[in-house]
Amino acid sequence: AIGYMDIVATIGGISLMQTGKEMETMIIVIAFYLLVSLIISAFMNWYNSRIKLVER
Amino acid sequence: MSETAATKRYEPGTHPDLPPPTLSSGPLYWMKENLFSSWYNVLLTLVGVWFLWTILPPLIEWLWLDAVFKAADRAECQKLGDGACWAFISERYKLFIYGFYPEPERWRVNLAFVLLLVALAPLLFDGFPQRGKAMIFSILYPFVAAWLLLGGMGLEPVSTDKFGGTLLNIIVGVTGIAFSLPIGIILALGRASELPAVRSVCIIFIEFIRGVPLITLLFVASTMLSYFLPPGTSFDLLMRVLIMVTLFASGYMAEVIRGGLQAIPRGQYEAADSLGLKYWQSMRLVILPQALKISIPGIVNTFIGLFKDTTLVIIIGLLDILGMGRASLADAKWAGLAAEVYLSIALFFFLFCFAMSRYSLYLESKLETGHKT
Repeated sequence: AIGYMDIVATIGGISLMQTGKEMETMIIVIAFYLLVSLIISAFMNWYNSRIKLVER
Repeated sequence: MSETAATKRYEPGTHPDLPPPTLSSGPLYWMKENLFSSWYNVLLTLVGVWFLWTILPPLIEWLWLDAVFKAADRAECQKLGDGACWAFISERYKLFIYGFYPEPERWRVNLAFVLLLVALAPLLFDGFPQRGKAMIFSILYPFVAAWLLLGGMGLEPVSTDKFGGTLLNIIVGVTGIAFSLPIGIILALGRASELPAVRSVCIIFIEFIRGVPLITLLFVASTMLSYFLPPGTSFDLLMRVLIMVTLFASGYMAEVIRGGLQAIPRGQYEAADSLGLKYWQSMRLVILPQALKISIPGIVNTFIGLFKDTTLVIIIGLLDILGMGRASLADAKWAGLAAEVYLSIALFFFLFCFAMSRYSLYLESKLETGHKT
């Protein structure tokens, strides 16, 4: 929003405007974010189950 | 012991109390203890005082003493004073608040806001008189507000693309907050359930919604939804935005509540079972009250974040208060007043978010049952 060309501004902004293919560009952006977030989430869930309180 | 004129003898135990040492109470004592207690504290105090001395007087002059509150355009504003040009805000504030809502119908927006406060009060505060009956109004409020804002039977209809400014922020924020909490609770319980189908559906939903930024979801809502629906159907844009924002917030809420659920010892579930409570009864009466109380800071954090995320609707063309601010900055008569505009927008958000934050502290102290010393 303040001028830095991140992935949403380059693929989701410039490429979308030039090609007009909203579906494909948005899927690329969503896939990138999903990949990073799922890796973080998987690691944290594994860590969570490791340090959980062990009860009966 | 010889007695001189200066001394006086007392019986043991009868001596009057001496006054306390001079620097052990009062404001000087506070300053000595908190500001000057050791050499690095003295240093930090001096740095802090110097900092305030250089920043505060010019700031107050710019904000208030030299500011211009009424002028016709920027040139006149600069002639009248060299502080902030609040005249811009005082001319445009109606646009910031109502957006493009038609002038003669703005009383409906005001009425809807007042009724919002009336509907929220019995839910938020305990000692409300006639709380039971007042809650009936709180349940009916969404329909009343929809009728007032959209028009329809008896009132002039107003299409949703005229909504803007703080009206839009508050609509999206309140709807997102109100509906994301129950949906988030259900998702959190579903993720912790033992039925594999329910659990996997909830996990997939939560991880997908949390893994994608809200901007892309809003893009999906505005442009791509038409691919998935039968051709020819078109939902109202604001309705799609509301649904998307609510789903987004409920994903985050589900994880916050899952954290609270994890803190409940297994003994509570077993105790509920031993009383013969079924699943939903034990959740409602035993587990959820404790889990929600523990997760109040996280829940209010998500609410505050959601309220500020409502400014992202600018991406799909809806002009909320930030959008209105940016659009007003393009006016040639009032060029270059970015600081005043953004400060006013920041003030609006600060008021609402700080109110939510203080309410959360009140709620926590009310529910505090003495487990902490």
